[in-house]
Formats: sequence, structure tokens, C-alpha cells
Amino acid sequence: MHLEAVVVLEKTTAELLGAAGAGDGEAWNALVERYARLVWSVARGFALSAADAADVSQTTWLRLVEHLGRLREPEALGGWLASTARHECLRVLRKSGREIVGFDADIDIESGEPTPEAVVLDSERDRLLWQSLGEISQRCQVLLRALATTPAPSYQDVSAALGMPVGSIGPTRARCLDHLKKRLDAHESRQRPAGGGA
Amino acid sequence: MAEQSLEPLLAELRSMLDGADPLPDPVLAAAKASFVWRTIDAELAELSADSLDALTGAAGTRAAGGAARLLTFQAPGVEIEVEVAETGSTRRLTGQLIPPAPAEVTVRWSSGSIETPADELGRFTVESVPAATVSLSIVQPDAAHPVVTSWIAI
Repeated sequence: MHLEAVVVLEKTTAELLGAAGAGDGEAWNALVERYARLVWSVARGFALSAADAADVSQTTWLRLVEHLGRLREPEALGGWLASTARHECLRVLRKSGREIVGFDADIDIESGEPTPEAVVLDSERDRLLWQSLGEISQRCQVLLRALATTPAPSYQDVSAALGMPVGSIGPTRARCLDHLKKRLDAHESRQRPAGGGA
Repeated sequence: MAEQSLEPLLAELRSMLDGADPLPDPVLAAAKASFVWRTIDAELAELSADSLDALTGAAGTRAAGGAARLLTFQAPGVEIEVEVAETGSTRRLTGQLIPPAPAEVTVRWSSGSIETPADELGRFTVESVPAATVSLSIVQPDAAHPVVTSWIAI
């Protein structure tokens, strides 16, 4: 019996960039498919509304169009896009007078701040997870949203999204997940009747 | 240790966000469509200064009250200074080409454009530009290539 081997070779980011720079629209679409979710995650991590996040995404991709053929490190495209998106987010926040205070200090969101916008979620667990995510520090939100992106970004990409050294992503990731877990546990224990064990 | 035990939480977060906050289809479509703005023969004038970047905290809050924003774009041989003023829901762009020279200036955005001449002193004004992501294209009479600025949300 003969099984035909199907080998799908994924083009590298540098190959796609080169082709897009030469006018290949399919290569461009493949790049967008690969990184659009990362750009979106960064914008939403900075607590931008869906409309503002859409604008940041648009500006970021237009910036890439104008830089086709001009990027010094094509393989680092994810980081370039994440960093461009971060700068645009900071501009949007400044323009509206919403400078993020304590971004580098991992300050949890004040309880007086508006709660995360309501979303439709089927399970109570997901609802509490969404709420908990909105309560941890802005930096943790950007980091965890970036890390949760599909396809999973590299630590280089995540460090560009945060403007942090690559070496500190690992420890910060552990700390942010820990913050998220504590918030989630607190919400869940409040929901359960006291003393209720399994 | 701790990092290991928290891995399932990240997976759970990924699955929750896929359902709660997916990339909207129009955002993906707009990103793909931006490829039509690829330029082959234009010189890129990159954003070299944005007065908004210099502002932080209280100053940023004041700027939100309507003060003009100053942008500088630079390409080899030409600099473009643009003041962006908020006029209700639209923007007024007042620009200066350095060195001063006449040109045909076009403000482009995803769904339209406005053309205006720069006078012999390199000055131009464009009214009623939408609050969108825009780029300027500058064509000088005897230049080999048009100059286009970086895209910027105004």
C-alpha cells in the first residue's frame, strides 16, 4: 500500500515578506493571517475599545505596507508589528488623556475603574476569568493576551509588545498568571456557599 | 513549580478569549485590504516627531482638550511639517514643506482623498479631513519620485 506523503512547507515570515514586497497579494494575506491576532491582542490588552483597537490594527498594517522592503530584520516581523501596535496604543491613550499609570509597576486596576465591557460567555467560569483578566495590571493584561494569541508568539514578539527585555518575560509571565489565578480564586470562593467542599 | 501548575490557566484563557474577544472579520479584512496602498516608486517620509509623544500625564490630558498636534515627517531632501487641529469631528491640516517649494499635496485615507496645492512657499491647508488613519502624498514639479508620509491616525 502506498501512502502519498503530503508535505506542506510553511513559508517563513522572511519569505512571505519578500514576496509581498514584490507585489504578491497572497503572501501579504498569509502574513496578515499569521499576525493579525497578535496585533489585535496587544490593542485589546491596552484596554482599547473595539473601535480604537480596529484603528490601531489598521494603522499598524498600513505601516507595514509602507515598510515592505525596508525592514532590517524580516524574521523579527512579529516583534516589529507588536511594537508598532504598542506605540499606536500609547498615542490613542494620550490623545484621550488616558495615560496608563504604573504600567511598569504592575499595579492592579483600581476597583473604581470601569469594569471590563460585557461579553457573551456561556460558562460562569469563563465569565469570572474575563472579569479577573480585567482586574489585573495593564501590563499583565497585555502580556497574557499576547501569550494567549494563536499562533503562539515568540518571547521576542511579546517583549516588543510590552517594551520589556526578553529575559524578563518568563518571570513576569509566571507572576501575571499567579495574579490572575488569585483573582479568579477569590471570585469563585465568593460564589460558592461557605464550607461547601466536594 | 508555580509556572508549571499555571499552564492550564493560560490554555483556559486562550480558549475563553477565542470566544469572548475574537479578531473581528472586518478588522482582518481591512488589514488584508491595506495592501492596495503598497507604493513602488515613492520615497517614504517617516514620522520623525509627534508632539503627542512628548506629552505625559496631566499635559496629555490638557492636549486632549483640543490643542493642535505637530507632526514632522522626513525623507531624504524634504521635510514636511503638519499641524493637526481638531475642528469638531474632522481635522484641519496646515502644512509646510522644507525647503519651501510648490507641490501637489494629496491627503489619502482608506475611503477617500483630498488634493490641494502647496504654494511657492511650500504652505498648504486641508480642511475637513476625517479623523482617520491618513497619509500625505507630495508631488513636486521636477522631483523624480513622489514623496509619501508614514500613515498616521489623526
